[in-house]
Amino acid sequence: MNIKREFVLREIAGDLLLVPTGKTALDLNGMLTLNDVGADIWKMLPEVKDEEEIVQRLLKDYEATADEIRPDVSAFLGKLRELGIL
Amino acid sequence: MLEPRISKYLHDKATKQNIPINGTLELTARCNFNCPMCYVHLSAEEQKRRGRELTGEEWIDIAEQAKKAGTVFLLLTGGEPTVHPDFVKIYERLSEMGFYMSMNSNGRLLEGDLLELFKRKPPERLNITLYAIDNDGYRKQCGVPAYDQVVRNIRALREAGIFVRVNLTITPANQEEMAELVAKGKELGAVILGTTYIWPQIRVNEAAVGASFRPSAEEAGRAMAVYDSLRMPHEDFLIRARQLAAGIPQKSPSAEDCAIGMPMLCRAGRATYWIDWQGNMTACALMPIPSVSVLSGGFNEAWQQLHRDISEIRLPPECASCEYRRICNPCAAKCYTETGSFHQKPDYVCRYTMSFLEAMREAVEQEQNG
Repeated sequence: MNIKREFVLREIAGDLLLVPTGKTALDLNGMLTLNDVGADIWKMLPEVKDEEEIVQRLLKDYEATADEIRPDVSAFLGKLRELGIL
Repeated sequence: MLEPRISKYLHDKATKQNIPINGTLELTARCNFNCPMCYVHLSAEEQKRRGRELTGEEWIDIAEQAKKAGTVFLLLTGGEPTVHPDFVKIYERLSEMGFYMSMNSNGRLLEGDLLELFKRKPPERLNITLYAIDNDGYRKQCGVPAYDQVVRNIRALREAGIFVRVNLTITPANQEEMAELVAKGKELGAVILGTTYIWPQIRVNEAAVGASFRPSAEEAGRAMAVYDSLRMPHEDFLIRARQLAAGIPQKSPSAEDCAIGMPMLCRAGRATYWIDWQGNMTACALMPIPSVSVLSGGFNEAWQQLHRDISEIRLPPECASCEYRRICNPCAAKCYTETGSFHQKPDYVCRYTMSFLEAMREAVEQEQNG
């Protein structure tokens, strides 16, 4: 999946932050914080082709069912699309 | 100016965990202006006599170490940072590392290739000081008639969507023009931040304890009240003046326990640091001591040592129990630069604060008397 904007993922004092770089810093004046699952999804975005692949990958690492995971993944990706990031 | 919540949250957390989350890199002590009140500026000859300016590669290496140690917020400053021979290389590399980067500048060189650089890789914020309201004023204050150039550059940066904060330093040379300076800052569409407190120049000259090109404490304190009345809407100013006139926070309940003085309570040395043009880490811009070289033992070692050293500092006992403490903020840097000691009450700051409050009370009385 294609990330349209430039970010650097940073871990600071136990928080995971997406810091905008390049022109993204102009468009998005702020920073995004992620939880652990959000950070895992973020790291796999360039390697996956669709939402379902993310769900399948998360199933290997988290004790939850696909039906439990799917709505959260969907909501997270929806938020990224809303911000023009994905 | 209000600090964004996420920034405050991260700084507070970093302060508790002793993480150097916010740093300043002073790329050079040289400047293409020559302001009489500057606390950093050295001529090229004087800088060379005192030591060596770090290379671009050295700054990039320091920034990489700082990133690993947890720095998120990074300020580039000087002198004038754009006169460093490797400025473009440093800026480009650092802006790709994932910092929230801002920069202090006098604005003179922020055009042409540098403007294009900032369009391509915008900083979070540019802080540009406006020193006067015309070329003649700039020549008197800074030695260069650069007003037109600086204002043109600020406009171009703003048009490119770059966040500019206009800093105003009110000195004896521009005090008469304060209203015009504030109006110009607002007209440029920028956030403004001003002060009438001028720091002593002990970094430039060790003998300048408590000394700079500045007015008396009384004059500067009253000027700060005038500045407040200019920067904010009149109603907001009156609210502030009434609150200050009505009385200040009560004496600290722990005053009796503070006979040896309070420790440093700000973030300096606990979450923030400054690295000077020679690679020495200090707690903030103004405190020449404690100072630890980043070049000899690396960033982390310097940070740990600095943190230990500032923990030993105790501020003047009389400040701990002073009812005006929360207004004058008698920090370690003020104590040291004003008196040469961390333990001695900074008299200039006391008189400045009292004059500021007196002027605020007068503003309230004037309002009440119609």
